[in-house]
Formats: sequence, structure tokens, C-alpha cells
Amino acid sequence: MHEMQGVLLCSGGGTRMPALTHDVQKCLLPIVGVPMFLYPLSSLLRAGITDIKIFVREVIQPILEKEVKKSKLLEKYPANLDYITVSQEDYGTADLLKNHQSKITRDALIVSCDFISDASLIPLVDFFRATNSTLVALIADTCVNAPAPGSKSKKPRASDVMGIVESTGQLVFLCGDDDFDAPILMENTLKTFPSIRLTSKYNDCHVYAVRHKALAQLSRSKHISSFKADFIPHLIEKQFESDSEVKCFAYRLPHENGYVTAHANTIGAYFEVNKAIQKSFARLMEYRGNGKTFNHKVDKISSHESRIEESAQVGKESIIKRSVILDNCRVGEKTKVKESIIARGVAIGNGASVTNSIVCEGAEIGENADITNCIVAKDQKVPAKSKLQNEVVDGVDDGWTDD
Amino acid sequence: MTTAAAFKKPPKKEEPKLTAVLILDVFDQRFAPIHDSFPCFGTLPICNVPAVNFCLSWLMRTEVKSVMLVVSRLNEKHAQSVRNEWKLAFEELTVVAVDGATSVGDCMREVHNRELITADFMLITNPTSVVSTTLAPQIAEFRKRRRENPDNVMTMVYSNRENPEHFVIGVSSETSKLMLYPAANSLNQLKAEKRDFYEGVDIRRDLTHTGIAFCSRLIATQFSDNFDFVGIDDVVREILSKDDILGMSVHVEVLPTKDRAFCAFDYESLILLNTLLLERWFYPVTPENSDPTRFFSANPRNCYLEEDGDEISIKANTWILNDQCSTVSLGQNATVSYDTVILNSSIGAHTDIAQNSRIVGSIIGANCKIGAGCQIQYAFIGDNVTIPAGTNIQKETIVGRGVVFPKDLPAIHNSAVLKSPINEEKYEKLTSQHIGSVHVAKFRHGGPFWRRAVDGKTFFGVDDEGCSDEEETSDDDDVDDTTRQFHDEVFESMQKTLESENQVMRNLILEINSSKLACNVTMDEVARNVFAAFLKLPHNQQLAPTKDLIKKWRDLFINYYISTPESLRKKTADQQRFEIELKKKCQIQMLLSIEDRTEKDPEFLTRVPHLVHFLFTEELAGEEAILEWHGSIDEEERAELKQKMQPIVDWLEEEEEDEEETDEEEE
Repeated sequence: MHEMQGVLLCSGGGTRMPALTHDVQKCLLPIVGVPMFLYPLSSLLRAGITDIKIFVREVIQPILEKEVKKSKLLEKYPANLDYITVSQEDYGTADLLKNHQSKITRDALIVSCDFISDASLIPLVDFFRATNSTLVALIADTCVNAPAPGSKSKKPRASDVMGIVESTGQLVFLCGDDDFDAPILMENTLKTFPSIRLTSKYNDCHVYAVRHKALAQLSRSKHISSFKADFIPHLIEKQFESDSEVKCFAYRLPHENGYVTAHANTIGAYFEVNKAIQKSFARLMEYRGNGKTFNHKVDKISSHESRIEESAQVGKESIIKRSVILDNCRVGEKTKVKESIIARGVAIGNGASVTNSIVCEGAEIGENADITNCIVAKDQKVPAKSKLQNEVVDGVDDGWTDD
Repeated sequence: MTTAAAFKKPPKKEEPKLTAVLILDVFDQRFAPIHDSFPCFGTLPICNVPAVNFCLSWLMRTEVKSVMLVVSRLNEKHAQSVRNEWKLAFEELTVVAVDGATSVGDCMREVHNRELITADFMLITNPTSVVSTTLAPQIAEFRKRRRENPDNVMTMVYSNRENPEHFVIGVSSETSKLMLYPAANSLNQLKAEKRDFYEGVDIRRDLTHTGIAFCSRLIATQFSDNFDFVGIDDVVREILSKDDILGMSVHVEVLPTKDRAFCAFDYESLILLNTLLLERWFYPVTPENSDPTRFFSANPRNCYLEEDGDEISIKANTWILNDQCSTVSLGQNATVSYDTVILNSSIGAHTDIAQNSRIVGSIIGANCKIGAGCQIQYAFIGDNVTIPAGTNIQKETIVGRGVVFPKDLPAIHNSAVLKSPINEEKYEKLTSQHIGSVHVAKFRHGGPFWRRAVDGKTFFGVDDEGCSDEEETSDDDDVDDTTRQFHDEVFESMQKTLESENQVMRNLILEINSSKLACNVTMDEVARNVFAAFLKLPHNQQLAPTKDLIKKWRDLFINYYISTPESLRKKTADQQRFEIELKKKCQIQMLLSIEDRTEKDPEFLTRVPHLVHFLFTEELAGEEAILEWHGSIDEEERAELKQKMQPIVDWLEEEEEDEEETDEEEE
């Protein structure tokens, strides 16, 4: 049986999280201090894929190479990485695949750089082979997600709507929630399938196993530009033709496969996965070690379910809960950090309290400040004793909104 | 406050038992050819047992203690005989005879008008409904829903079977609420909206309705409020399309696969039901114990013989030993000769079958004579039919009562062979033709008698298709097809009414409502298009005739645009407010249709103020509606219209102020 080729897409701009991506590429955004793209790369490697193409913008290719080397992932899982540089003009994912078609020579497992999970992709590949399908999309109903800090909206809405044949997992409709505007008329679908479940509980994780044949046909269709909005619907439609050989399936990620799965393309999901991934972080990214631990009896620091890098300093009698504190941070005494991400080089004054917030690189938080549900952008300063709630501190006056 | 009392069980309240309303007739012209033999569908023999017996037999096992047999007046005597046979099985078994019933709707209206329904009831719209269970879990589920929310007005029972019509429904996977129901003219398609994805709707065509529904009293009220409703489908569509207004919901209960259920609606399904019953799928509902007055013996290979003390006469070798026959029911004194093969069939009493014939999947009536060497496959044959030796009857043929089947009859597809011509006035969908000694009847639309759906598509009358052809020619913009179709149908109905001598508004309203149901359009669209069609009439090209016609057709406009005191009186305060609000919206739609008209016909513009003023004085358009509409007119694009309407609006506003002043003075 021939092996599949891995395709890792690192060229996305991160348009759904502008507050974080204005000066860093999405694939390099840190999750617990590790650039995001290493997680899907590790997923591919763990699935035993040895031939991986990475689509990346030219400027950041050296950074990627450096990070991969630092991570020592390849020492554990030897593989052949092939960087394919893309220009800014390449628009949709399908366009990318079209333009660089010659590079992909076999059935491909396409993974987006925002797929963060400790789940194994081997069952998906097996499912793909067993069903002899044209396309298998990974969908999960347990994707971590939460309202983004700094926004007032409550629950995140559904991100994808889809139609699935419940018994087999065959996919008959897939559309992003935002792209769904007019009611759809179901007729051909119903001719082919007697029973269909319409649902919004799953997230499309942007992990697709695709037959090489289908990818080869891509180049012939001019008006397909986006993978999700054009190519998948095109394949799905083909299923309804009589004697069609095309079969599209959804692999519903079973709950026992992995603790954490996220599609970190929004701030909310990104924020939440930072906190959630800690359970399996040490296993996924062995090179980072176990982080700092404290002896409560000595300095009265209590830390639960948190990751604190070795180089960070934490003052006495602080409480740190379900948070991430990255390199070179200075956390004062008697501070409380809960459910938050503290990026590199942040200074938090004595007695401050940070709850459910993101504090970006180099920011400073004054003594006894109280921050809840906020994003503090790079190099911003929060004055002492201030009290902030549901805000984005970015030095610009007009507020940023979730949409 | 939590006290000990809170933990005590609430005093158990015995829920009243459901009453069953069983409709004994089927109102489908498909069954006209066998009307002479079996005038009442409920007593049509299946396995030589009147069909309704199976239904009563399973009803007897459920909690139902009181049954209402609803039947058209003509068939009252059949219902009475059923009653006499079964009255001991139930505490109450009554017959409700309805004069001139032509639909399930007529029956329900009569039942409602006589105030026979006092509580929740079980509605069985088809007398051939058979289920193998007591339905206890489904009834309990219905009660639970009713307790949770009294607006859960109906639960329909479906069975797991792919339906031949590919009728699709959308059911919420979590709450079993019916979310999507297809329009009457396109059973195979549904429109899914975003909320359906959020709800997790299952779209299924692998379910079949069993003809059983648990209903609240409100369902009966729905029938009597809408005198054009024909069947339960209409009520379901009404409830779903007015989801936000009525706030009622319909649920679907799917029987587990171990429970069987079936109901027949055409010949194909009757034959299938016959076979299923003979094969004992619905045990304990079986042919031999479903008839309280006759005795059937059940024999190996699913053979059933009716016995009356006299032995069935069997010629030559007993055919029971002939292992080519199986799954057969034989009526009293039926004679079957040697070497005949009978499979999956029922043979009526006193019927004589000569040797070497082959009968498969057929129902044959009483007193028939079937000659030697006949081939009868998948046929429905009435009483007193003679079939000469060596005849080969075309598959899927229906033979009416008393026919002497001509041997040389040419094969005619999708037809029924009758002794006398079809009464075309009574059955307007059918036509018949004289061929040799018999008459051959067909559907005017060319569809088959045998089955309702062909290749998963249900056959609709010619009229529907005719409309869709016209529609293509007149299509000038992207208006929704169904809305356009509705508009055209209304326009046509209005023209017809205008030409007719006594312009009966009731009939016109009926026609418009049936178009509305067929096209599945919303209330707003109805309001807009009815008036648009009215304005389009050639008669209304001048102001004076328009005014006259509005006066003359006042009933029509009252029906669609204003709430009359009579209609309000019956309702609660909330409903009244709602009704008034709704009619205001309708009035705005009427004014919008006037606005639309000005676009197509610039000349019309000059007449608008007069027309609107006239509508106001006739009380067909309220002040609020006019003001709201005027506010919505686009100032740039429709400047002229807005300007022309200004004086009237000013005048209305002045009047309002005056009124207020007088009010104050009075106070």
C-alpha cells in the first residue's frame, strides 16, 4: 500500500483574528510558546507520514526551518520536508494546489496550520482507505472554543453547517455558517440518500484526505478557487450524479481519540486551546521540557493546570491557575493569574489580578491592576490600580469587534 | 421553599382515555372502478375480512375504549353492520354519518360541529391502518408532550419503511418535532434553512405515515376554521407555515423496527397489505382472529379457509397438498381445482377457479368464474366477474363488478375494465371509453390507477402542469416561482368568477385558498398577490368600475384584509390582538401591491390617491396601515407617488388629531 503525502498549509493570513496577527504570521502565533504550525506538523508525523509538503510565504520560510530544527521533531519521526514557497497572489487554497499541482504526486492529507490536536490521524487515514472515498473531512463536535476576551458576545455561534448520512458518515452538504445565506433546496440529495441529518454541532477542522485523482482534476476547473467554498461542494454535488464514483465522507472524531482538538482560526478558539492543550503539551512537544514547578511549602506559590516556563519569575504567594506564563515574564508577589495567557517578557506588578485575558509580548501591567476578559496588545502598559473589563487595550481608540 | 410535601408524588390523576375517530371512507377517485363491488373502503375485503376489522382488532388492544366510526351518509349501513359486529369490544362504538362527505376534512368538520370531540383523540384517516402494537409508548409520549406544552397539538405515527412516493419530511433529531413538510405539488423536495441545521433536523424519506395521528381538539378546530382543508396534510402545512403565528407544533413518532405498521392507499399497497396479513407480519392481528362473526381456519403455508360448517369443496386432489399454493385466503365455498397455482392472493366466497390457472398477488371478489388456464398476476377483480378460459390478464389491471372479460381485449396500460361507463360528472378526474362489450376507464392525467406514485413521483392532475407552462412564458423577473404561480392561479380564478353570472365569493375564496395550499405561499404573499391580481384584471382599468367591483366583491376583501367582529369574538384577548396586527400587515401588503402596480403602469399612478381613499372609506385599509405604508415609500425612486399620497396622509393625520381632541372633550 502506498503512503500518503502530507500537505501543510502555512500561508494563511489569519484574517479572523486581526488583533493578534497584525505583526506576526498566523502559523507562527505561539501556542504555549510553540509556533502554531508545529502542532499540525507533529500530527502528520505521528500519523507516520514521511513525505510532507509545506506551503509557506517566502519571507518566513527560514523561520519555519529554524523552528522545526529546534523542535527536534524530525529526530523522533524522520521525514522528508519540502518547503514550497508561495507568492502573495495565490488566493484560495484550491488555487495553491492548482498552481503547484506537479508537486503533489499521490493521495494527500491536507492539514491547515491552525489544526491543534493531540488526536491521532491514523484512524482517519484508515477510514479513507476502507471507504475508498474521494474525500474525507475531519469533523469534531468537541472542538475547544470560547468567547474571545474583549468581546461582549456570549456563546460562539456554530462555525459550520453540514448534512451527513448518520449511519455511514457520508457527507452531503458542507458550508461555513457565515457563508450560508439562502435556504437550500434539497432534491437531488434526497434522491440519492433516504435519510440525512442536518447539523451544526460539528466543526470542520480543515483536515482533508483527498484522492490524487480528484486533485489532478482540479486544474481543469477554472472557477474553483477556494477549497472549502468551491472544491468540496463540487465533489459533494458529483456524488448525486448517477453511477458516480465520487464519495465524500466525514470522519467524526471519536471522543476517545485525543483530549484536545481545536481549529484555532478565531481568537476565542486560539485562546482556549492555549489553556486546554497543556494536558498533553509535554507529550507533544518534548523538547520544551516540563516547565517550572513550585514547592508550595517554600514560597507559597500555588499553580494548578498551568505551564510556567523555566525562565519566568514568579513572586511569592501568587496564585496561578489554568494559565500559560511564557519565557522571561516577571510576575510580582501576591498576584493572581487565572485562565490567561501571559506572553514573553510581560511584567505583572505586585498584587495584580489577571483573569481570562491575553497579555501580549512586552506588555506591562501595573501594581494592583485588575484585568478581566481583556486583550492587552503588544508593548501596551496598563496603569497601576486600573480596572478593566471586556476591553482591547491596543493604544488605538476605536474598539475592535469580534466579527 | 422545600417541604416534605414537595417530595411526595403528586396525586395521580387518571388521564382520560383517548377516543378514536376512525374514518371509514377513502376519498380517492382511484377507487371508483371498484365502487360497485365495494362502496365503502372500510369494508373492502382483505384476506376476505373487511379491512376495518383489522383496524378495530388492534384498536381493541390499545387503551382506546370509545370509537367513532365516521362515514359518508351513503355508506351508513356498512358502518352500522360493522358497529353491530364490534360493539361488544368497546365501551362505546358510535357511527357518525356525514352528508355529502367528499374529504377527510368534511368528516372532521361535521364531527367538530356536532361537538363530539371533547378531549384529545386518536385520528385514523385510513381504515386500512394496521399496527402490531398497542401504541402505549407513543401515546405516553404524546401525553408527556401535551403536559409540557399544550401547543404540542399533534403527534403523527410513522413506521420505518421507505415510502414509494419518496415523500420527504424533516424531523428534529432531538425533540422529534416536525420541522419541514413538503409542498403539495412537490413531495420530493424540501427547503432547508439555517435554523434547521441548528436544530439538527433529520431529513428522511425512509418513513411512511401509518394514517394514525394523536391530536388535540385544536386539530378538529383547524378543520372547521378552514373550510377548504381536505386532509390532515393541509392542517400540518398550515401549522408549519404559521409556526410563528399559531405557535403550535407537530411531532413525529417513529415506531421501532420490531413494531410493524402499514396502511394502504392504492391498489399496489392493498395487495401488499393482503400479503403481509396472510404472512402474519402483524401478529397478533391476523386474519383468523380479526373477524368476530366468521370462522377461518389457519393452515400451514399461510393458507386460510373460511368455514361455515359445510366443508369447502375441493376438487380432485386436495389443493392444500399442492405445495405450489401458499399464502392464500379462500372465502366460503370457493372452489379451486387441481393444478392451479395461487400465491399471495385472496379469493372471495363462491368463486370458482378452473384447472391450470395461475394467480399471483391478486384480490378476487366473490362469485367470480375463472376459466381454465388463465394467467392473473397483480390484478384487482371485483365481484361477479367472469373470466373465460385461457385469458391472460394484463398486469396491474382493475376489473369492475359484473364484467365478462373479453378474451381479445387489447392491452391498455394504466386502465380499469368496467361493465358500465364512468359517471364523469361524479368523478371528474376520470374518463371512460367503450371497447367491445366493456368500458375502459382511465385517469385524465394519464397516470395509473394501480399505484399513486411512479418512480418515486406522485402523479398530479393536468391542471397543475398546465399552469407551470404558462408561468414560463409570463416570467419576467426573478420572483419566486411558486409565488408567481400563485399569482397566476388567482388571476385566472378571478377572471373566471368575473365571467360567471352569479359571482359567488365563497367559491372564489375557496379557489384562492386551495392555490395557496398548493403553492405553499405565506400569508403576506397571499395578501399582496390577491390584490395585485385584482388590479391586473382588464375590468379594472378605470377607477369607476374598480370601485364598483370592490363593493361587489366586498366579501373577498373582508376575508383577506380585515378582522370582522364575528371572527374576533371567538378568540382570546391575545389572539385578538394578534389577529388585528396580522390584518394590518395584510393591508400594508395590499398597499404595496398598489405601489408595485404603479411601476408597471404609469397611468395607474393618477388613480392611486382616489383608490386608497376609497379603500379607506370602505374600511378595507386602516389609517395605521396607510400611514405606515406611506412612510415606507422610497422618496427618491417613487417621489411622485409619495407626493400624490401626501394630501391624503395629511388629511388622515388631521383627522386623527381631531379625534383625539374630541376624545379629550368627552373625557
